Amino acid sequence: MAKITINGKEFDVDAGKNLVDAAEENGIEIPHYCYHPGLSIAGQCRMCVVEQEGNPKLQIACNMRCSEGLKVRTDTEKVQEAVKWNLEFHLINHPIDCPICDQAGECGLQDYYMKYGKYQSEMREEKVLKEKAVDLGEKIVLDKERCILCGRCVRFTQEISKTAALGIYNRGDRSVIGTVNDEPMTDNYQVNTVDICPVGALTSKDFRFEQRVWFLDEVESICGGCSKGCNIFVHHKSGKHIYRLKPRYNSQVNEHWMCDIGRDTYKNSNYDRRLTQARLGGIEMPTAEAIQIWAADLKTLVAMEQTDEIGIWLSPELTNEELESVFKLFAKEWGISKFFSENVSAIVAQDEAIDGLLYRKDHYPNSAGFLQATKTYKIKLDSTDSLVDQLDKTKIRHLIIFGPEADRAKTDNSRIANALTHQTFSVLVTAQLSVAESFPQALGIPSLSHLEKSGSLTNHAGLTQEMKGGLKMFREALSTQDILAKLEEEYRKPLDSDRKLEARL
Amino acid sequence: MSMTASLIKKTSHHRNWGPMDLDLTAQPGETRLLMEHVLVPGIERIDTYESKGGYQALKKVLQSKMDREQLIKEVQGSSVRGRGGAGFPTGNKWNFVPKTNDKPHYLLCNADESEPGTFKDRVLLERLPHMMIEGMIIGSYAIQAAKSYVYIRGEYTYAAEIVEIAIQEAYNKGYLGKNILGSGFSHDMYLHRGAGAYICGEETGLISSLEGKKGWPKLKPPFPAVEGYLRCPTVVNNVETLACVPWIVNNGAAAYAKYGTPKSTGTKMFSVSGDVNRPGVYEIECGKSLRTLLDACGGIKGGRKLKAVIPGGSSAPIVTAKECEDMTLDYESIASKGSMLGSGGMIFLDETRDVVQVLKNLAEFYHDESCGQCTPCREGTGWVLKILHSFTEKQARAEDLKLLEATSNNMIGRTICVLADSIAMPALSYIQKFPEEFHAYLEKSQGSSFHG
Repeated sequence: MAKITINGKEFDVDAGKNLVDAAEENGIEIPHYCYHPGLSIAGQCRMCVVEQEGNPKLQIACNMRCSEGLKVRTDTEKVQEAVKWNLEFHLINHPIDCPICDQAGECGLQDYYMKYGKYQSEMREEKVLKEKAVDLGEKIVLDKERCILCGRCVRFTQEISKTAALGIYNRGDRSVIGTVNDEPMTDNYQVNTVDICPVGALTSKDFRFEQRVWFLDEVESICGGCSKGCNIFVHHKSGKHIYRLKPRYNSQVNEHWMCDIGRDTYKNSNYDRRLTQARLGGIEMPTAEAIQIWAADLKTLVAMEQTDEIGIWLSPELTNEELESVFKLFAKEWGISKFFSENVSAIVAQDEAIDGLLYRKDHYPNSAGFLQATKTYKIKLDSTDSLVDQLDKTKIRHLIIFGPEADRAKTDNSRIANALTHQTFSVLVTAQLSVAESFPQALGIPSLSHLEKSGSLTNHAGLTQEMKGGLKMFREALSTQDILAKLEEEYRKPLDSDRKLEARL
Repeated sequence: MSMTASLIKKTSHHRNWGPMDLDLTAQPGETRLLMEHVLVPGIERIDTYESKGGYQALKKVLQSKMDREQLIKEVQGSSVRGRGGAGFPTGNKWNFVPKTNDKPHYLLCNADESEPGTFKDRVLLERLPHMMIEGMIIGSYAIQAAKSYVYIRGEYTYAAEIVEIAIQEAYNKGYLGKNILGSGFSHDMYLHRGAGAYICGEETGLISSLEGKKGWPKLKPPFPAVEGYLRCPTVVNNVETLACVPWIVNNGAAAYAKYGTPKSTGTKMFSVSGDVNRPGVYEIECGKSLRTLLDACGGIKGGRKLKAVIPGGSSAPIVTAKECEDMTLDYESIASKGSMLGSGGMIFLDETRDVVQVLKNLAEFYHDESCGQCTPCREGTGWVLKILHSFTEKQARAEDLKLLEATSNNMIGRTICVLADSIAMPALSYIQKFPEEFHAYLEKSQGSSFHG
């Protein structure tokens, strides 16, 4: 620990901590553009100037480490004048095209302008003109005029993604960001440069022109794209549509970053990819009604003590809580013992960081939690091969599939779907329209998509992390727990309601 | 030419300069410690250099295996200061290098002389390369550097050829390489040519460039003496500074310190340009009057009157003729006039010169050469130029003079290196010392359509 003094107030901070961070943790903002806690120190934007006791020259806070007795001021006229002018220098050649800029609303230039601006620019001369809408590849567009040359993106490609894809070319006020020989960026971490760009210079093609950021709300979640478990923010509008995912800092998992494959997974939550209504044989129905149908068939088999004719196929992306309710109801309560899945142990055994960074070979977010839950509930897992075999031999007459989001288990899905005959009653609980379509014969029950769920996931390293949930985008799509509770409720209802149902069918 | 000359490629990305065309005849008022033998034919070759006492200092140091601390103390005792511009005491710089040897140490010779108005190193590089090389080997011994580099300005093609040959000659004589003069000290020296960027003459920009990176100056701390080239302890010395070392070793610190003033010892090589009769390089004892130098170079051209002097290379604030009257050629006297001795690049302006045009000319240079790393410099150099342009185009507004001052004031001391200061400080001094010339442009601008 070290005692430092900022603006006359004493604070106890970790010795060696960066002054910008130490100040921020104690509620004092030191403005900065080029400094980023996840990157090396550049010291080139000069926004973070402070007055250090005993030093006549203004110092940059980003290059200062906290040590015992350090005394600085951020509130003197000298500092404020310097920040004001520095901001003016940043703005004189900036196009100030906020009305058509995607960064508007979360822009470092806008934010600091409101706090520290000169308000009256004296620059009447012509601005330096540079290239606009430069394509940097599949993911990113660059506006060289908006760029303030803080170099964060360049340092990211040098230090984190290690592609060294970006550089600063030319010099002076002709400096521009670019790629070597204008080659497109191709790696899986490109959009991080958009996240850390403090202005609207780097924009994501996916998000560009889609939504004004001030209409977006955020919930905290965990990415479901692989076994890494990157911490994320889900940015949505009114709980109806998700527009983007942003990494959320976690020193143990993903630090400040996430991969582009993970970023794209939000698309699975939106309307065009969702099963929003329960359906059977092409007929849509309220979810409650679908659960009644399901309960009726289950009840018959359980009543006839034919639980060994009931099979359940599970995807290792269910949360620990979902797995708990599945095993409690089906295994403990009703004594069902036939559970099937992909070979999750093998998936876990072969898991590795594909590119040495975040993205992992195991594309399920909770394989470790899945194996743990099967152990806890003493579930004997059988393979998809065995399920197909048993379907062929009509040993299973009631199959419940807790289907995967996205196309992860495509092969298994189609093999199961092909083996299904009219002899087997099948229920598919999924959020995904494409999965529902691959089981046309099944009773489809819409569930929450990954990003809407609350619950916990256990990542490849055995770290269990909470998803806060809080999103429910479609009225008829319920959480797995709610679906099972309703199923149990229907199951317990007296028989005459069943008769009504049969009459209807 | 030896075969090594072919290593120097004539490249297309910068101009290739042949031998400099200067009359180096000694003039009254000069004190030539470094340039004593500059006119000796063939002095750039090792045999001639040795015949004039060359490499005696190296022998003195290495054959006696002089104590390194003693050697550094000797240089400190001479009070010789960095001749590249900053004027930092050389011995102290050497002394900052850790005495331990966990990491390799490096000595870099800054031969990237690019400051407008400065060309004295070129004389040493073309005529007395061995004096610099001898100084480099001694300096490297002092700081325990096994490798040193001469970072030479890209345009200095001929000088590069001369230095390349000289290094080879020093190897052939056993002054470079393994176990030099049986001392157990081994040293390798390399020549590295710049690619034409002014900023690579800034010591940390030079280090970045030598490391193969864009020539961006580095944040300090850490200072090069602790973490420089390849993140190892590094000393960067100017050509002239290193050329002083053999003289100091041969004659002793006290002998050197007898020249000059107590704080500005020795002699200084001045590059004289502008409106004088005989532009050139003159070596004058520190503390002598400016008049001495002006007389040595034949006075102001055409019998006109002196208007002002830019005393330390183009980045130095301007000094008026009146202030020059009692100005002497040492760090302190020039500083007392609000300027600096800098590199000793003296630009004389006669009474016909338009200082607004002069300043705009300089602003063009600094705008072009700003590396673009720090915002105040990247944007400020362009802004200053644009404002000055509005003056010279007679389109300035009344408030532009204040704006020029405010912009300059907010560039000074706000950046990693001093390139921004190098235009902002002159700008402020030109306005302060010649306000009437700026006002004249403002008046000429009145009623122009620009004000519409």
